[in-house]
Amino acid sequence: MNNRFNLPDLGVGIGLRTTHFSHILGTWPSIDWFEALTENFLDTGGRPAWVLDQVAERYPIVLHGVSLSIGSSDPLDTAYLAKVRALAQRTRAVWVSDHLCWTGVSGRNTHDLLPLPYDEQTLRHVVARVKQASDVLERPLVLENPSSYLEFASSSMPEHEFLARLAEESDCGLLLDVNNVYVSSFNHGFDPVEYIDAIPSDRVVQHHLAGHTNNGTHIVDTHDDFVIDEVWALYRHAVSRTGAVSTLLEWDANIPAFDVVHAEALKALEHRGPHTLSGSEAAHVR
Amino acid sequence: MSAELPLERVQRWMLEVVTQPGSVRDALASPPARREIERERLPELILPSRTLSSEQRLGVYHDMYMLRMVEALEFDYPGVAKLLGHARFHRLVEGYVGAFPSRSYTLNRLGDHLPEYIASHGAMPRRALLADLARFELAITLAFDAARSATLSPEAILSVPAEAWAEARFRTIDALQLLRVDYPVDDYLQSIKDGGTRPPLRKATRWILVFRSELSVRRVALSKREWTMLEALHEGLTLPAAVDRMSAFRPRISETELFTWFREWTRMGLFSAIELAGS
Repeated sequence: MNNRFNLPDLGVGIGLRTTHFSHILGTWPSIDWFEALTENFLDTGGRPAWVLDQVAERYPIVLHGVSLSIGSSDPLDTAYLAKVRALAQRTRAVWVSDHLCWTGVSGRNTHDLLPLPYDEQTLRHVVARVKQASDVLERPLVLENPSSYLEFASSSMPEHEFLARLAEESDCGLLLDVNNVYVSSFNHGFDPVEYIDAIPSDRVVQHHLAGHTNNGTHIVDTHDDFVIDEVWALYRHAVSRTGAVSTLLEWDANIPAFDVVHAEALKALEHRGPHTLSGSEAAHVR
Repeated sequence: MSAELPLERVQRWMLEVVTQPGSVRDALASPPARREIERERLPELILPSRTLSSEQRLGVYHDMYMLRMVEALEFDYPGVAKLLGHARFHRLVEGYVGAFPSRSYTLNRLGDHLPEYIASHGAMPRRALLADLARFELAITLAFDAARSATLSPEAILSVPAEAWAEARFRTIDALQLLRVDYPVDDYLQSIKDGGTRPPLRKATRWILVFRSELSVRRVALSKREWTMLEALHEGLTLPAAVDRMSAFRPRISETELFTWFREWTRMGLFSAIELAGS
């Protein structure tokens, strides 16, 4: 355990996606863990819910949300959070994560991870909401750094400082998406290594990796390709600071066969070097 | 900015810009966006990058929004999307999400109002057909997502005392939808799934049962008689009241016919319970 929450290193996992359901149920592949997109499994009693229950019987599960909207100026949706808590209990989710962003306001949802201005006003707002969300979830919330395509002129601090202060003041965990650091560093022109170095490593409970689309003028976080070498290099740097941390490959569009996605995820083991998962720790979480 | 513009106002403005159809420039100039912040103030709000202007950076979010809405609705309404073609479906989605923007944490509920939107959309060609197809596709989605229900066994039905049937009500499973359509939309959707030839879409009334059995959604075309009886039970009528509703049918409903239906409905797992008087 390298983090202050004593959350285990689950090893290397991939996202639980509909297109792989048959393969997973038919072969029960040897994989360390799965991350399930929270909203895909709320309010459904059909096949997705049944598959998730089956998978949760055999593998550690982490819930990863996209609609918490922790930065919105709307009131927190505590009914939604209560449903997330119930799903986490049902699947024995090892932790629950979402993004540092807002997704909508005035009761409307864009279903996008929209950026926040990084200033004192927003920090106070988000700190209070993270504490409230953690109370409802009855566990520390884990927040991910988003990919972003614009910066607010009113920001008075860089994203890494905002995230570090938010984590300290709200006592939340962090999901460090290395690809997102790379994407945003390209789009905003900051140093990705400096960003990673500024993140409190003892709060990082998970890493994300993914492919993206480089449009020349900007990069979009499309999760539709293999991880590029520059992101693997950043991952090695991140692991050198955080130690062994659960790692997950996201692949959400043009999704290839399960084995292709898993093989790409397993490359993380080579890049982790000595920071590998101990067998006893893996067994502990099942 | 923060001293002048509170977070809430910035977010309301950005939401309006991101969700307006057309170009991002049109969106910035739209009345809903300008009610929050005038477009001339954009450089005060958003920094340019080395390669993109403030407007272009905002445009990344703006352009992705409608693509995401189209993709989500195309997933739930493949028949409507196929029948309309990409350009017209895209325009339909633009109008629809303007009228019924997502108010849920899940995209699964985004399309809940599409059938009613199509039905009330005067200018749409073949509106009645599209509305029927949309209702049918929504019924499939609702059956897919419905909560799991226990299913009633034949033994439970046989155990009901004879004197209790006068007040008995069958409760149907949550994953059951009944709809009457005026076009063969079930055949059409199946042809898309199979990649086969599109059947003629001439007016022909169909009575359709959509339900989830185990983990699969099934669609069954029923006779008008069978559909009417099942609908009466689905509405919560007692068994005698449901039979009364069948009184207009000729030939009259027979005990044998009723028995056959119930045996089949029970086999398909359409009932979750029988409510008896006082239970």
